[in-house]
Amino acid sequence: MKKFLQTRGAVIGAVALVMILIALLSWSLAGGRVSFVQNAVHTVVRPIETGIRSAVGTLEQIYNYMHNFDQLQAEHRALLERVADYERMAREAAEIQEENARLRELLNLVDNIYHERIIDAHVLTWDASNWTSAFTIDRGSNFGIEVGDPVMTERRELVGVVRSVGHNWATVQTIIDPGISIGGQLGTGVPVVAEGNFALMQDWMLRLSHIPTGEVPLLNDAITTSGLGGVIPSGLLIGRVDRIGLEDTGVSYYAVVRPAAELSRLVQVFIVQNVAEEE
Amino acid sequence: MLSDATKNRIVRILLHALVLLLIYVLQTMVFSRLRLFGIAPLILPLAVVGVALFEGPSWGSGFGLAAGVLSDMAFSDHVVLFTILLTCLGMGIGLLSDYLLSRGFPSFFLCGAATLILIAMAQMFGFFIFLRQSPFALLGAAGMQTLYSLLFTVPMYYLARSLGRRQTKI
Repeated sequence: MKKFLQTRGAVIGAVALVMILIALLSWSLAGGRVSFVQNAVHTVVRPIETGIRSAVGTLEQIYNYMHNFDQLQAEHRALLERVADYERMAREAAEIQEENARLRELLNLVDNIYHERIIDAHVLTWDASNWTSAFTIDRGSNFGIEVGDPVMTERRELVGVVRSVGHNWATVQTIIDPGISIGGQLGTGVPVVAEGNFALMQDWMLRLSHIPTGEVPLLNDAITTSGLGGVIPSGLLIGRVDRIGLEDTGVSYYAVVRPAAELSRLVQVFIVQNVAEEE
Repeated sequence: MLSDATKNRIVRILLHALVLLLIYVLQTMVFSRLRLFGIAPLILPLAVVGVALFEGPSWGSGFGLAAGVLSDMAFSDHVVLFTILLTCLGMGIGLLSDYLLSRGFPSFFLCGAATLILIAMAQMFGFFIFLRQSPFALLGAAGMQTLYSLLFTVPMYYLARSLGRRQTKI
């Protein structure tokens, strides 16, 4: 043992010192801010990840083009039909909007449009862990992104919340992650808590817990964000009710919710920042 | 001018860094997509076991430290879990290989299995204690992760062995 310590004591000491330094840096900067070491390594590794992701993406595109042509044609037809539907709905919405504006003027109400700053970002890599649902985006503190900022799709479907921020990258914790908890509301306006669940995460689902007996939602009901707390804006679509069950206590219900955003196919996301508070 | 020993040491460090980077890219870009029942295998810890077994505690702990930092970046569910765990495991397995273990596949497999079980237990600990998740779901995921990762012990063993032998020649 003495001989071992004489020959390798310096190496062991150096490794222990580096470990302690990393641990101290990480713990002291916990709470979303990443350690200097992780930030530096991540910043260096990111261009390599971007390059590989780009190459993999190109190969995937070629593969999909060659093998999924029929499927794409069918999807194209279905999308054309949906576009026609949306055009009709847009015309109706325009009429409703005009009527809404007239009624607002009549009631002298202030405009309620969100005061938001939207930052677009691309999904770089998904977290390799089996115990969390998160991904890295290519925007960070250099774009003003902060821990806790909500992330959504272009259709205002909630994707998740920014968990940690580096210089030119940030990690987004999705709404199915077991560690997440979001204030939501049922179609009737009843507030609920949407939270990630480890068993449901593998099926890309999340859970609403402790729903009062008289307020049980119907299947396929939309769950939106409540806006309570002021961090996540209200009205973002979380998902739709997939199934309902009775809690172990027997006095309240839970619901399993399928996220509205197609998390497994995310390419681009949008970070929402409330600029009304800053102004 | 650098002495031959210093040059060899630099080449050795660069070679280990290259292998580590390759495994990191495989882990994050390829294996994270090769999911079986929603579970991806872990290969970075197996690389640490291989280096520790074939090259001893100093290289094992150094490689474990670097692999740990990268793993904590790739697996964001814990802050410094892998940095601490892989460094300690690299040193521990390296010491065992110096004094107790033979440097063959059975030792590699046993150490790999023990490492993977230990990591799975550490990963599920917080979910069970703090987030009160279902123990059955956690144990299922831990078991699946360990078994799936063990499939990769054969290629990782040969990779680590060839790296170790190359170092012996240098």
